[in-house]
Amino acid sequence: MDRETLISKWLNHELSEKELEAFKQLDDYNELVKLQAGVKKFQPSDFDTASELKSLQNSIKNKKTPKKLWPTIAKIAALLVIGFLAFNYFSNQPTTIQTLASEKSFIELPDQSTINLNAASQVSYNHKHWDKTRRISLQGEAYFDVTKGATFKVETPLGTVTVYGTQFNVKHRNKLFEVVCYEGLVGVLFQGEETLLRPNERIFILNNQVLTSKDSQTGPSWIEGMSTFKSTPYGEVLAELERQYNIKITLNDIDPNLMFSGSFTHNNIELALKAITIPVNANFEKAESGYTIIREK
Amino acid sequence: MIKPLQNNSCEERIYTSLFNKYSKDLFNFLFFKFGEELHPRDKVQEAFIKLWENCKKVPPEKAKSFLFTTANNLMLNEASHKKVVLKYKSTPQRSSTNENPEFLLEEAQYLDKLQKAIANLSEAQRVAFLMNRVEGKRFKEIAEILEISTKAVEKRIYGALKRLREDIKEL
Repeated sequence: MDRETLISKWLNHELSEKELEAFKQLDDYNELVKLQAGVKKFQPSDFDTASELKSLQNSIKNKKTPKKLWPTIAKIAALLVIGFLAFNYFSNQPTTIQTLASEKSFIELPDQSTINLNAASQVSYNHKHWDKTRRISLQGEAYFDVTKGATFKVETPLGTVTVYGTQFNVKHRNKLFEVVCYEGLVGVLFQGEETLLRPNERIFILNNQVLTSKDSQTGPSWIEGMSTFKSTPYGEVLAELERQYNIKITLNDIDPNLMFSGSFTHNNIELALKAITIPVNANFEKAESGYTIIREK
Repeated sequence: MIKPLQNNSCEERIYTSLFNKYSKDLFNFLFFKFGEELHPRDKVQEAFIKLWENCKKVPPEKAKSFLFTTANNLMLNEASHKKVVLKYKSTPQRSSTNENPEFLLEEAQYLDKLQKAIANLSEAQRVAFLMNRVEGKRFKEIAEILEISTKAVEKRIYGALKRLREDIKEL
């Protein structure tokens, strides 16, 4: 066995007895032993594991929990952020108010403007930004009393009404779009063209045909429980009656495009039916789910 | 959020066993590498406190690496990279000795030379060599602590031995 292997084995504490003998015969044996004895004196200072552990445990106890504060803070922060986002989201959601058939509603807006909402109609507006943008989307019919402030707009699928004044009625039903101004000034935007309405002026749009006329009333009659029509297709009149009483009406042998002027009350169905059948020479009969209107022979 | 208990070092039983297993090796390692001046004892304590603070992130099988790296970094933060001079322990003087004064003087001179020679070794050589010679650790044990191959340990120790002998002869 060569010298290097022997020394290596000696270093690794793995000399067999026989090899140890051979190792002792090496020239440098004495030198190596002397070196080893000398190196042994470079002992590290004593390290008492037990007492070191004790002092470690003491310093840990003083530090108490290993829990960091950060995760807790992060959790609180996350909750706040979520809460804020949720608040933002919900407060940015438009407020929507809807009436069912034969139901009316009175709405007070944040600036104390008011809306009278007719049956089977819906308005929605953004509560949060109301003071900046007074914009309402409307489906159906509503009467507005607007207080002074920023531009007030009523958007319907057919056209937009910009309010310069205070009191007006907007009606959008199917192809029909009607605005009546009662006080102040109202601008009606229809197909990119704005028509200004002064008090007691009325714009009536049916099947894209625009008609302006005078309206002598001081407010929309539906608020007082009457529906009033001027040259309105008979079908629209019946649709309004259906909405007011939540009934179904079928026409028999009568042209729904027939123009009708007149009114009906919201409190008495018999009276209301008479009011709209007599002028057109028709009769009505109780049917399964409502009434049938038949032309008088 | 619930992890098996075995998976972190926060459990006191595991933490204590980690201390019993590694603290002395860590202390000796620091002592051999940096000497006594930089308070290896305190660094062992600090490293274990850091382990406790991070016990959720450090599984027991990673604890050794964590401890050695942490302690080593703590040392390096402080070390001004001056030459490490290890002190040898003078053997207690026996009241009566059959060794003549000349022998004693010669031995003292030899130890001085050895001290300088050890200081001249590279850190890597010194740590491996002293773990082997002073602590009596085998190559394989040292390889595990230092996380290097057995062959590399052998090379370092053999190299250190060669260099020591040359230096002592020259001095």
